[in-house]
Amino acid sequence: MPVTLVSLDNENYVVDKEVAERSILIKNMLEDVGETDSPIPLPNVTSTVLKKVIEYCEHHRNDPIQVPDETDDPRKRSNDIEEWDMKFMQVDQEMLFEIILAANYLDIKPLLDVGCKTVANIIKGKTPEEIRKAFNIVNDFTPEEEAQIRKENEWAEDR
Amino acid sequence: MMTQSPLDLSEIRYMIGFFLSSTDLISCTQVSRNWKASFEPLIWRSLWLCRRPLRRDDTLVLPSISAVEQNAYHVQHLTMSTNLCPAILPYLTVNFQHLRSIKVVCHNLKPSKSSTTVKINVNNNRYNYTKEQEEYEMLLWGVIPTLLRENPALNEVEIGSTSICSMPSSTLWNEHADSFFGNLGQRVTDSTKTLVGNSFNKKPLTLQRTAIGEMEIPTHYSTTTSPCFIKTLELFKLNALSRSTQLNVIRQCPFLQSLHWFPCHIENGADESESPLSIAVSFTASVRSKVWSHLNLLDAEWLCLSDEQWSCFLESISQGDLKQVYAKRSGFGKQAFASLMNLHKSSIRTLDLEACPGVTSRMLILVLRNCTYLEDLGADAIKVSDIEQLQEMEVKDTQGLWASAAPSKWACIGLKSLRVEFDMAPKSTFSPATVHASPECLNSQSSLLPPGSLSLQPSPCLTQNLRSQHYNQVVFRQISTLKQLETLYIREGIICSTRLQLRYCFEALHQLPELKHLVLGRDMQCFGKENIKEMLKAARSFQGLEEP
Repeated sequence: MPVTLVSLDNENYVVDKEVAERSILIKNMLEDVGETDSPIPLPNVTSTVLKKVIEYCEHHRNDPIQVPDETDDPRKRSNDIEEWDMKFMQVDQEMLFEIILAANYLDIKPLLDVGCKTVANIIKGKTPEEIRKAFNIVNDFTPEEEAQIRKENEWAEDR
Repeated sequence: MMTQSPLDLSEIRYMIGFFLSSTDLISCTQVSRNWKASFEPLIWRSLWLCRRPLRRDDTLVLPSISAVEQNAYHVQHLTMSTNLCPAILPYLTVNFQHLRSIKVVCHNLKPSKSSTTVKINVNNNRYNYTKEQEEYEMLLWGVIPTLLRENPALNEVEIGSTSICSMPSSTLWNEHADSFFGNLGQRVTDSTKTLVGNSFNKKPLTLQRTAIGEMEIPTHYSTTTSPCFIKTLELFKLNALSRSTQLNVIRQCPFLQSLHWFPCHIENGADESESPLSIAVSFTASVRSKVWSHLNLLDAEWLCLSDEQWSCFLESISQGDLKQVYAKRSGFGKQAFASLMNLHKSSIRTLDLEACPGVTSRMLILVLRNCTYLEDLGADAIKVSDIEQLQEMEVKDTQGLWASAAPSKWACIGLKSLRVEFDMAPKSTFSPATVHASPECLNSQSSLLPPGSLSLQPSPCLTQNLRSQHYNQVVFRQISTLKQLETLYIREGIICSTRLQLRYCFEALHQLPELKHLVLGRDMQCFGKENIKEMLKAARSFQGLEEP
């Protein structure tokens, strides 16, 4: 059964219901609305991003639904991204961020995880200054404050 | 939201932080104030009060107490090393509330220049410790029950290490026994190296490797209203616990279903210090009444329990449930056998009596004849002469005639695995030396005849040969009634000097539809594996010979 998704810039995309329902937001909408042909508006997602998101959902349409768990693992690993996903995420930073925001809005946990893992991989091994440069973040610490923080958290260093 | 960066959203920062190592998180906390607020709690999810094995330097850095107190809310996983006790104790009085797991490890600190003291840097305070470490470790043991009480989500407490850890003193134990055996203790789990773990229905309790002092299970415990609910108990290498103390522990567990009692190192002298009499007395005193109603499995292999001790044990187990008994290398004998037959012959399924000098061939035959549900029997010699004798006795009794007896029924028709040695020695005449003669004896002179003399009687070897054929038949006919037999393990005893004899014996095995594995002793190797396999072609499930 096809579902029509409408992006911010009024582009229509027709997808299978199964694909669309990878997004929990859309899934819930469809459940509320019932059997209908009317298109679903997604005012927070531009067409370029929506295209990418749909591509992801199509590829992963048969994946089992993830059960949310925030137990056990103090630290999940970020090096287990599958190859297709890795290629999929080889985009510029702006697109990467858009995908993450879209996945967050549309509630597509696996895509959100992949996005976050990708960002985590960018952060890995960088000094604070390098991180700021990578993401264009303003430093609002004084040098003394920065040194103080580092000292306070030194105990947690594992290398 | 379109133009916003996801990194501006704290929930997304949190998710990203989930995938970062501690060191990367530390870098993130220095990026900006927002980042610090998001990433710092993640650092505190795991509190390490121990040496970090991958750290480049040798010094140890612990967070300040005030920092821990401020962030206690976030701490979910606590790892600590008992080696650092004096330094650690202040941290353990912090009210965490959200702990999920505690792990106590014992790392061997690398020696510093001085061999007796190690300096630790805790925010510029130097802690030296020497042998007082032990006292501090005891205090540590006292803290854990408190932590269990205060942290409802605390589900995993792992206490143990590969090297010997100290055990709490008896005073401490008395105070905190409830935490380890009572309801709270159900959240203390075990790893393979755990010192003390408790279980409630699911995991076994493993007590192993105590090194210090005698651990007295508090006697008051047996009178509390909540008994120990442990179902599986393993006592393993308890160096300093005397046998009677261990038995005391076992007694505390009336719901026990499965007991594995492994021997301790005697080198510590713990067992030697008790006289055999005192052990016997404590056994009898301890197990006077039916203590265990649900015990299924009793594994005391190699423990060298005496006959009387075995008997006491078996008498204390209610009828009906005991299925598996492993008594290898022990004093299991007449008394124990009597208790076994009295109470448990209808339930026993697995019986391992190998290397028990007190177990006679007759006992084994009686087991085969009476234990209907027996599936697995391992034992030493079953004398075929005894089989025959018992058959004859039976026939004589019922008919008063001497008739050639059909093999009297072995009740264990469900027997799947038989691991025994058949002793083919006839009742009287021949010395054991001639019984296990090799096929060559047909040609060589028997040792009973003076060299050079002619024998008017058939040579002892020949007679022995005929007899062994007969015995083979007795044995194999009997075995052929065990239709469920899957594994037959005959270590020694079948005397077949020719292939024909062997073939004849194996024909009986053809009747065993389930026979998969045959393990034969060295005697049989001379016939060649392939030949034997060929002879057993007709046994439809047969998979092959196995190495003894």
